[in-house]
Amino acid sequence: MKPMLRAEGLTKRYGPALAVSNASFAVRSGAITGFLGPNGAGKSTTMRLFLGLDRPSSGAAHIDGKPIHEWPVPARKIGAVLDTQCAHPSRRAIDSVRWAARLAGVKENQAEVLLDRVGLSAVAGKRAGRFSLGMRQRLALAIALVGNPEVVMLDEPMNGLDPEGITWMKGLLRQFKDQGRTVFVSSHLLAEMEDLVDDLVVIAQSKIVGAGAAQAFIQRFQTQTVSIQCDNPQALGAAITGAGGRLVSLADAQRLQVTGLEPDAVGQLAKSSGIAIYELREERSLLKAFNQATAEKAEIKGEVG
Amino acid sequence: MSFTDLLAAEIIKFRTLRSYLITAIAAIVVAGVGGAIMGGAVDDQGNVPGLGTSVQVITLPMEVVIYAMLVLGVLIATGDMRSGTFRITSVMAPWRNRVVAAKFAAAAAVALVITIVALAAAWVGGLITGGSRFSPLDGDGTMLILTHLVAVPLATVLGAAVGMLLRNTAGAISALLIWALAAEAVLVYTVPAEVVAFLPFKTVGAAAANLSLGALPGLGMFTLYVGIAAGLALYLHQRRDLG
Repeated sequence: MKPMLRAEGLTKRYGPALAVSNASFAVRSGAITGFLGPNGAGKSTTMRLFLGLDRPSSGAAHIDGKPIHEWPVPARKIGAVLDTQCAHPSRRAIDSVRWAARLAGVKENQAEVLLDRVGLSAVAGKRAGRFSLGMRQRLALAIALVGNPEVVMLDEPMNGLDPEGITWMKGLLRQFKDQGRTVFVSSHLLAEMEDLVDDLVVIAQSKIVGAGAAQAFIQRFQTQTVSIQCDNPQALGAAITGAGGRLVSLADAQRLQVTGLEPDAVGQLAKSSGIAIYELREERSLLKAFNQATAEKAEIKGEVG
Repeated sequence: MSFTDLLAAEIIKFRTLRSYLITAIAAIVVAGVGGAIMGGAVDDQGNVPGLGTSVQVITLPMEVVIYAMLVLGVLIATGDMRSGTFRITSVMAPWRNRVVAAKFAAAAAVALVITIVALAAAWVGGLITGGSRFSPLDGDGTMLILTHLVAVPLATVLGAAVGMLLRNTAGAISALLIWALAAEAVLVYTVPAEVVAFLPFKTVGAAAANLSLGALPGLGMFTLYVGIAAGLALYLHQRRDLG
């Protein structure tokens, strides 16, 4: 599948500070791609480079094969929410979408439809300065969607949202994917991204650490761990070691964590040893994989999650 | 995307902000009231004592309109930047010079409409209180009145350009008003009269009626100053990161 977003040797310096260093990655069309990294890793800068807001020091950022300024109506190609500061506080929500509609070549009366789509139709006539963070987030989305774009780029959209808002946002992103859009979403909240993204681009300290399918990333960076709760952990531990497995930890009196054996092999060992299994599950997590991938960057690990 | 779309979006931004509309209405009201007050001072010879011909009934209140539009120009630029609207505009229309040019053009267009209404208000105000003594078209009156149709929009563009350069509302308004109302007032007493005539805010408005440069040459100088400020704003904006 052709890449919808492609960074090639993308570098951005602000004076002596290197914000993005030689970043090369591609974002698959029609997928939700998480752009993960701790605060200050270079996620927002990379997005601004794609959107033409910042000039790259070197390299290129292409949207569907071209820089953003080469698209005749960029709003039809990409819609972006970089932060919730998206509308003049004294301007009515509906008017903030209307001027954007004009730039997207869309009829101004579409503004009402868009506000309805993000759940703001009841407050369309209210000034944006009175909106809560969640409402501003929705308004920013309405503006980003005004051109019915193929790509939706969101920078930390979960930030500051309550659980209900996060659920709504994740549902909306899945809906975008179902509509065939490409979603590129940055976040440092790895737990919120784990069940959402198809692909990942991971950045730490301005460098791309990994890119590709989320599952492949997790498998690459996190060794499979099997967690077992049983009635005789000591005996099962001995059996596992004897079979070539490795005990990672004895989590508590009845729980073991094991690497080097598949869950079904552990189950067979327990059965043949006459040990009752209360719980057996495979553990892989994006957070652990991320920590592993960025293990050498000790100061980052503390911030993530 | 055509320049017309960019211009139309900027006009929508202007007309959907109450504070901008209030500034515009206030400027028009001041012009009308100022014209009425000044009209009452016109003597039997059709002059305003100590100031000159009765065109001053219109040009003096329009001086306030010039400063109001200068401030409005700053707000049009910095309000957009402060609110994040400018960044969204720049993503939707990633052609920086065209976006800024559209902003300047919209500011000028809006100011032109306000100027026409303000001139009419000042004229009507003068007519009400000055009656038949009020004859603003005498001498170079016509030319002085007409130059406002260019000078006020240019002042608005100057405000927008300085707003874009400084990217700070208070800083831009302070810089412009301190220069116009304080620095030039001091320079009048410290530099030769031939130089004073070339000071930016002494080239247009009511001052143009009283200084040696005259209406049209004064307007030409002011256009040059605004052109330099606008050109500098475009040049720097093209090179800046907008993040």
